Amino acid sequence: MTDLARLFADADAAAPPEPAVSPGYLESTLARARRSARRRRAVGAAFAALLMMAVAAAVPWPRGRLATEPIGPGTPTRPTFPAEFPAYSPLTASATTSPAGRAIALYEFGSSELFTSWQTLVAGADRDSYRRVDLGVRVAPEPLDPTAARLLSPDGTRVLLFDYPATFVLLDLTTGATTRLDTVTWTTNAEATPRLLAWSPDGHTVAYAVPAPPPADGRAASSYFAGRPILDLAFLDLRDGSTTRVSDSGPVWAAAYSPDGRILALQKGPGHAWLATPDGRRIRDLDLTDDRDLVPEVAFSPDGTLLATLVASSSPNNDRKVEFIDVTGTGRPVPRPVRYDNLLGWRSPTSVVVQAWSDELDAEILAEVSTADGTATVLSRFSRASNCEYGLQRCFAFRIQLASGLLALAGVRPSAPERGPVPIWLELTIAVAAALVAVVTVLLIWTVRRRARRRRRLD
Amino acid sequence: MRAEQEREYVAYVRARLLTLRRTAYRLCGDWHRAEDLAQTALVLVYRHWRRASAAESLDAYVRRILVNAYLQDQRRWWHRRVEPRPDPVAARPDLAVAARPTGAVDTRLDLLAALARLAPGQRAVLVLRYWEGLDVAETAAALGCSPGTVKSQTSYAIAALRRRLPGYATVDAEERT
Repeated sequence: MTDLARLFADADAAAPPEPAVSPGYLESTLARARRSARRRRAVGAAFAALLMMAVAAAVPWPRGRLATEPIGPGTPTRPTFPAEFPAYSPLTASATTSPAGRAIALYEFGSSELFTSWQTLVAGADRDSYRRVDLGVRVAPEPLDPTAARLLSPDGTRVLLFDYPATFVLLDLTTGATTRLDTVTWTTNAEATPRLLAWSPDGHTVAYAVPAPPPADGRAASSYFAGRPILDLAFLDLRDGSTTRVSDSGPVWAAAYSPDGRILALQKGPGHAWLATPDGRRIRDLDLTDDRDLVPEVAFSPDGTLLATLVASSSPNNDRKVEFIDVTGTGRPVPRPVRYDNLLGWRSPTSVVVQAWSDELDAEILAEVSTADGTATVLSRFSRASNCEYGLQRCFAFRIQLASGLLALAGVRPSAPERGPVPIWLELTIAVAAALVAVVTVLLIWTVRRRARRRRRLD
Repeated sequence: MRAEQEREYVAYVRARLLTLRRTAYRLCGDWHRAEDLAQTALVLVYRHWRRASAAESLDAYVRRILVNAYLQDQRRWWHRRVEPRPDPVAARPDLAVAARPTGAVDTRLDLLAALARLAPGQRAVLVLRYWEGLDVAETAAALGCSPGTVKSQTSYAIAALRRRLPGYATVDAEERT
């Protein structure tokens, strides 16, 4: 033994007796050790959950069925209607962030009885894609008319939206790009707002109506004609964004371009219509009865010889029907009326596309109706799902517009809706939910094992 | 930890608690802190019992945990405060005059006071080597350093102890080893 070791040994020998171990020392040590082990497992589980969340946020999730090949403007594909427009889904991506190409239809879908479940959508023409085109534009407040606030271009590649009070937003569906364009400057002393009327067949010009200036007498009543605010005709040139008002052209209620774009049919009031040049100058009058309105946007038949008008019915249901008038001035016979009140476009000079209700299918449908014999063929139907307003209401389609330039060739495709990428908020929600499930599972396993251990210990 | 493993752990703690607490006391010089240190080490051993029980020497494993707990505890900020300790010489003026304390009790007090003034690492190396009777390899294992470091640290620690215990020739003699 070294001297130093002996020194320590001597110190031990001189030391007083060791104090007794504190009462309950072993038990408290054991309890603290178990607590520590539990805490360690909890921290481990929390860390694992955080790791999962981080991985979930970093790794791209399966994005559902995405659009396959990008379809360029020159790609010769046949446009199609979906066999069924899909159910309402809040997961539908925006056309700006996830463009899906040209559209066959622009429509509103949803319900807002109690809660608002409402979307403005475009249905793809080349694939079964659906995108929102809400874009956060401001709609005209009540009692102004917000119904004529958007148009789908004839080739289905663009949507023009009116952003109250004096701006248009042009959305390119193939790129998602938006362009803001100004309306003409307008003031009014009536409850009026601009209305989009019609898109020229060449896609360059949009006719719209803008409130006429206050009348010279300053009376609000003088700003109305037949109960409606007087709106002047105006044009928006999409090539350069310029816009012009046709002075004293009001009232203008509705408009439709002829297929060659050389004639603009304008409804000027009840029973009164013009055939006008593309810049709004009158060519000649059209005689309409007072109960007859021009079908907006798509009144002209593909051969330019017919105009479709909506005629009020004398039936108790107040149903309306579509009647045709000859615009050639030759007095040639016109087709029989079509007993549907919502004409959406023309498939051929002898067939139109209408929106209707099918009792047989218990659904809203798009049907092709022959003007020769009145036979109807279902092209497409809207989902019957009752998933609007948190499952409380059935969803319905409103204000359907079809890409008029695509209808002649359009076929029908099977439904396999593709709504674009999953929104980031959903990814995060899934990540958090997965993390919570993981934590709960770990805690559950831990609790079960702990109880089992306790039982064994008691045994 | 499974019940069977916990039973093994409890049996081990029952058997080795006093020894462990004694080592802790030699390291820190206070029975209450020794109990706390031993408990801290035993909690860590509980968490790693599977690895500890599979170790070549369970005692060595636990001792290493204890020494680490002691050194970590010394590094914490609340241990850097000045702790009043009785100075055996100042407290007993007669020792200041005497060249060497006479009684074994006094020697022990002087030794404890001198150890308390050493750096924690130096104290640990002296305690392990000369109070616990470990060889260089075992001390190195307990401290988690190389045998060479143990030797050099031992030398420095003895020199430091000699400065704090000038009256003890045995310490001078030890330095030569």
